[in-house]
Amino acid sequence: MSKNLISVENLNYSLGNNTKFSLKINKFILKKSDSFLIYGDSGAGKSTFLNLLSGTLRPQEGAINILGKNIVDSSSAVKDKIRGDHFGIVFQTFNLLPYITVKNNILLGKAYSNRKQLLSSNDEVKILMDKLSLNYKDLVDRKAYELSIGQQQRVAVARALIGKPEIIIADEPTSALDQDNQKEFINLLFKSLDENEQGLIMVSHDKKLSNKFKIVKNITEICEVNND
Amino acid sequence: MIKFTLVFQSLLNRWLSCLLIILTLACSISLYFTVSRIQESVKSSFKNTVSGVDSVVAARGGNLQILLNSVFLIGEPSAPIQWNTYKDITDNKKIKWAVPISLGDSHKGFRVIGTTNNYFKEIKYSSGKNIEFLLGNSFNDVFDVVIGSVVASKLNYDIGEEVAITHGLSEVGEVHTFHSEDMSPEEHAKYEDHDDHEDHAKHEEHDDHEDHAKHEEHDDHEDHAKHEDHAKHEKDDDHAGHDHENLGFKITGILKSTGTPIDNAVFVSLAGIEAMHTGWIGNQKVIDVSVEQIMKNELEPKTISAIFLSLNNRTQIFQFQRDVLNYKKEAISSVMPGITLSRLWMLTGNVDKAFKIITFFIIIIALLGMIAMTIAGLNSRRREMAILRSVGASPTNIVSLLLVESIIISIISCIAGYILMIVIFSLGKDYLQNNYGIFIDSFSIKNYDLQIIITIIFAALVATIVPAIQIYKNTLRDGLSVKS
Repeated sequence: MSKNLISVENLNYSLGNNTKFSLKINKFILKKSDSFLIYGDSGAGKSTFLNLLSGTLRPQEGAINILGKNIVDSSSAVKDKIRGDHFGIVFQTFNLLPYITVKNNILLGKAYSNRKQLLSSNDEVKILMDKLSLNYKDLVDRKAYELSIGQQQRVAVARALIGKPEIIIADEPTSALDQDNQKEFINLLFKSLDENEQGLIMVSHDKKLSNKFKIVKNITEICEVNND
Repeated sequence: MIKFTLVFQSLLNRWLSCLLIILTLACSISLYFTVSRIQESVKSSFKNTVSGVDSVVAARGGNLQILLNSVFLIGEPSAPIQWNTYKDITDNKKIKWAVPISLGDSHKGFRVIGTTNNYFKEIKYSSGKNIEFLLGNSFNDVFDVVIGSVVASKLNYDIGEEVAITHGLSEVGEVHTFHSEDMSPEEHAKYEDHDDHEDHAKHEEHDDHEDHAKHEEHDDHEDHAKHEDHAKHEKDDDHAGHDHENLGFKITGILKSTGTPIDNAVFVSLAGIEAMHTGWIGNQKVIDVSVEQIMKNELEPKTISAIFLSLNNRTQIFQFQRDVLNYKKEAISSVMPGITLSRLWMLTGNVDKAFKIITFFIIIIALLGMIAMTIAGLNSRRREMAILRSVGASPTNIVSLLLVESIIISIISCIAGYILMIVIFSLGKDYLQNNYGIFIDSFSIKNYDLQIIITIIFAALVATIVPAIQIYKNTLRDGLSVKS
């Protein structure tokens, strides 16, 4: 298997005919155990970039290789499967389904992936919660809406990590947290990554959390966005 | 497993709107269930009641009215026919058996049928089942009474119990009373005072008794002597503890349940009917006749209401009808129950259809409500969808979640509608039975129920297509961007 988790080449994406939004990526590579922090202002194409990587947007030109497989021309079903099997995704906020329990929210991470189900043990929920400093006994059966924002984001990480996906994508996961919580969150995130060879791409609007990341890049260094 | 939890919890999370949709759907479904059950019960109880009766002969009148009144005990009795007519009719060679009936009296709201023991032998129900006795047996005596199963259970009657018959069909009619000759004058006076003549005007249908007074033939009926102890005033409390027992009619038999109007009937011999009307002119009691005097009379009826009959050969029915129409002494007609009923179905068929169409539209409206609810909920659920997409759910997965939701809602609605129908019938059963002769015997799922349940689930799925397309587009457009 290729050492590259993700490699993007000569990618060209533009929205429909009416809007003049286009995004170009010449080259982007995520290797095993890489950790990327991509920062930039809003509107710089961060969300589009993540949507392209995770296969929910289809580029007009170029290649996106996920674990060596080019997904650009794959059917959406294949892309959904790849995303389910190999990605763990954390959003900015509202990561959880508020009406189901913490446990079910975490298990949801592997609900649509046979691979993750095979790779995950029965007590993985507890292991992940312990790693992320979530009190298993107190929280596991609580409904997600009862948790604090900080706890919710950590549950979201647990959901992203369950089943040991190779690629973790985090879209401004700390933006709703205060400074202390931001640091703690990043520490816990890295702590739970350490044992695996997972690659992490985190997108953020500032780079003050950059000290733990291997690679820190401005989004403009990766993508060329034309918004005229 | 977790996907099912997801659907359930998601529905629970929106419990109020779901509950409202389920309620509207359940109400409309139960309406459909109820209407079709009533329609079916009406048809089957009508069909079951007239088994083996080829013709009903009664005074000339509307076929339907004759049938409803004589067979189904609904509506006002038709005009009477002479007893001699019965004799003449039964002389007809085509006839296998004939059972006379006499209507117009009641007991606590249940109609009294004056007839002969042949009734229990010849009349069949539910395509050929015999009427059977649960307890006791048919009449041996003038004052013997046989009651239907509903009468027995409603009034908690048992064999040997004494009952009083009311003149006319209303519960407030005058009670047919009998007294023994050895009653003291004072008691007699008291008794007389008690009689309520105020509402006699209502009983105008009883013009058939006009000629009772002249028929006081004094044949000696030796065997009637033993009937002295049957004399009874009535059940009235005023007379409780009276020296002379308030003797009237005595229950000698209770019929097994048939699920037909037979269950709601009180049967008395024709002689009994005659006995209770001795001393009456029209609807008015003019002479207080003692039991002893009554028994001296010949208790052959003067008039009856209708004749049920069966022919030796059913193909002769039209010939027989012609015979009846050509009967010179009286204007009578012969009604064929089957044909009259099918005419009735033709008449009511359109009403049936209209009802079904209306209930169907109500179900459609409820389904539209479900679509509205689902679409209204979609925007607030886009976040939910993005989360599911992020963990690998395809747009198809998400649409199928929506479909499963609709299936669950429609199944719950069907179950709730079914339960609602059972509740409606448990509350309304007696009312339907007593007022309309409609017997709702079983609540079990029928074929047509299954059809409608499947249709509803299918319709719910079809109804979900609109929001499903919407959500499919949303998920494609939103991708992983969480819209809140």
